[in-house]
Amino acid sequence: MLYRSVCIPRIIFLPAMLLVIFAACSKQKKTTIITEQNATLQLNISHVVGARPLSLSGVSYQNEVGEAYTISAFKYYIGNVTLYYPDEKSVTVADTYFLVSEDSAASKKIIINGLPAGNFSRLSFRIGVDSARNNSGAQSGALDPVYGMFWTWNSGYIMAKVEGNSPVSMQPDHQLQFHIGGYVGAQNVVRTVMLDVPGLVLRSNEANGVSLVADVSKWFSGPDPVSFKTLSSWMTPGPVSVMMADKYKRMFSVVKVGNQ
Amino acid sequence: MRTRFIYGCIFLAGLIWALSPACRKGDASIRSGQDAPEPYELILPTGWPVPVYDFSQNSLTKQGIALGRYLFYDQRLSKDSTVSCGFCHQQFAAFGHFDHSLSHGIEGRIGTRTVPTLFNLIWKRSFMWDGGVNNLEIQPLTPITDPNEMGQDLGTLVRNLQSDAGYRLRFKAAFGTEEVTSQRIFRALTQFMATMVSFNSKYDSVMRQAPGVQFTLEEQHGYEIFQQKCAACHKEPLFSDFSYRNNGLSKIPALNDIGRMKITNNASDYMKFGVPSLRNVLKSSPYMHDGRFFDIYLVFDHYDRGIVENASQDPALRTTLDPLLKNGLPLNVAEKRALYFFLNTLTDPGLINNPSLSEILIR
Repeated sequence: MLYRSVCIPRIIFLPAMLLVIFAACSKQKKTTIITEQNATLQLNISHVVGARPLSLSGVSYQNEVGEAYTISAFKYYIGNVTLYYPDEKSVTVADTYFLVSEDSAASKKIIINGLPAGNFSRLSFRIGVDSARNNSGAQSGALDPVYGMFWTWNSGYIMAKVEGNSPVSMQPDHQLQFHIGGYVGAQNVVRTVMLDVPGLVLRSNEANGVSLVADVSKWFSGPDPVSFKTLSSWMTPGPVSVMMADKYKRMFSVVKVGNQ
Repeated sequence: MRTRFIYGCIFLAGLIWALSPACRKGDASIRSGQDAPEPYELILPTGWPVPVYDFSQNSLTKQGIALGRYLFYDQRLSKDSTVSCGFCHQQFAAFGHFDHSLSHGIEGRIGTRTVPTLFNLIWKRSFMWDGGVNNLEIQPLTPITDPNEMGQDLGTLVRNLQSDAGYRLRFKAAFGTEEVTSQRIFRALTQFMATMVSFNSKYDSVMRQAPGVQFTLEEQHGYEIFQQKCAACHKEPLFSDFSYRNNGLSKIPALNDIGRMKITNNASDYMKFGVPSLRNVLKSSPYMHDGRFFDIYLVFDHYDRGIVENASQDPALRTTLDPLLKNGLPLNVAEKRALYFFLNTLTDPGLINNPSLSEILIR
């Protein structure tokens, strides 16, 4: 697939190169004025299901209600990465979009250049694509509809996607398909994740990293755990998308702060 | 070395082609070579609303429009190279599909709704009969990828066009480099669709008080009936308010189309469909979202005495009939005839005979 071998690195690169401009233009209230910005943050994301690493090749997992399932695709958008100083001022990498996909190693290493040096205590980012980009016409880069993360019949991005299989699913071939999206009003599934990154230090001309893990099992865990007997597929905006987004926004945790 | 030779050949072939007057007649898309694309000014009528489409990211250029037109009429946009956009959107039918109630596509597949007409699209906020598409630029994504229409994978389409030397030149002429992206495909198609404008009908001449043009008595009578009974939804000058309404059609069980409710998940949108423009209406039969009426008089009859109020057994879904149609729109024989003559004044040769919109034969 072209998408794996060529496009993903560019998706990450382009926004990174444009970062200087965007960061300078950002008008968020608490944003620090950036004078020196040559530090680099690398987010290393790995995917797990509960205690086990995620595999797309048929490994069987079990949900909270004891049903077996496999995963064949796992993708999501993140963006609006924000670093907080201990005094709560922050630096936001605005207007950037990353498509993270389990089948692309490159997509799981997000490199953000042009950041100010400093000590940071917290990190936040958005899961999904902001409403403006959902209705502003044809997009490019990570938002190119060529990646299959845009609904054709009901415009808007699939913010996050899990596909797989479960013997209890009533769908053809016992499929699981969760395509979560919606950007209008109460259907909005954009969620912000806030994580502590104690001791994160960025220095000029030096890359520093944060290792994150995203746990797919959180999509289906409690409260009100999902049973694939009754819910094995959802592919429209609406209440189920909102419910799933509220579940998967808990999937991230920090496993390591500092250089690899 | 070998690669350079091949590129040399392609360049030479391109050069010969570009210099050959027979090939480039009336085609500005690749003539300009290294030059920047030339701006194109779309002249719009005075007194009309400001277009909804935001041109700021996609300024019209002669080369952009020409590329869009080429794409619009290229069958290679479909999976098996049998169906172009223009296959279903025929100029003489105001870019609707003459004589077909339901749209059809590759491999003889048939869709569930009729082909909408295409004109004055830059004034529309949402697209498709149910309003599911929110921007003109992204509209072509639906027919291109729908398995019942052109059935093509978007990534495959981008790669196909990128590997075509002619297209590389056209993209360079339109956008400055040879790179083909889905965004450029959509923007070029949008540029061409933006030029599908309709405001040169007899009605428009009368409204502009063009010298020597006036309605006949019957047309004038029809206009008065229109204003009284139709204009609330088919609002002038675009002849649609671009809202979604239940106009009292009986449900066709085989299609089981719930309309806009599919998009909004809201029961109050059950069986609501977009109000189409009446411009060029006599050229764009059949009518309604499912093309059930092949004659405009059947449409008159529907509003006169065919309105169905309870289209569903589900009590929650029974009340979506538009209040304006609660008592139907009574029309006698003379009124229907007058209305017909008025609607005839909405036929716009500036659209259906415009040579710059006509089909170009590719290969």
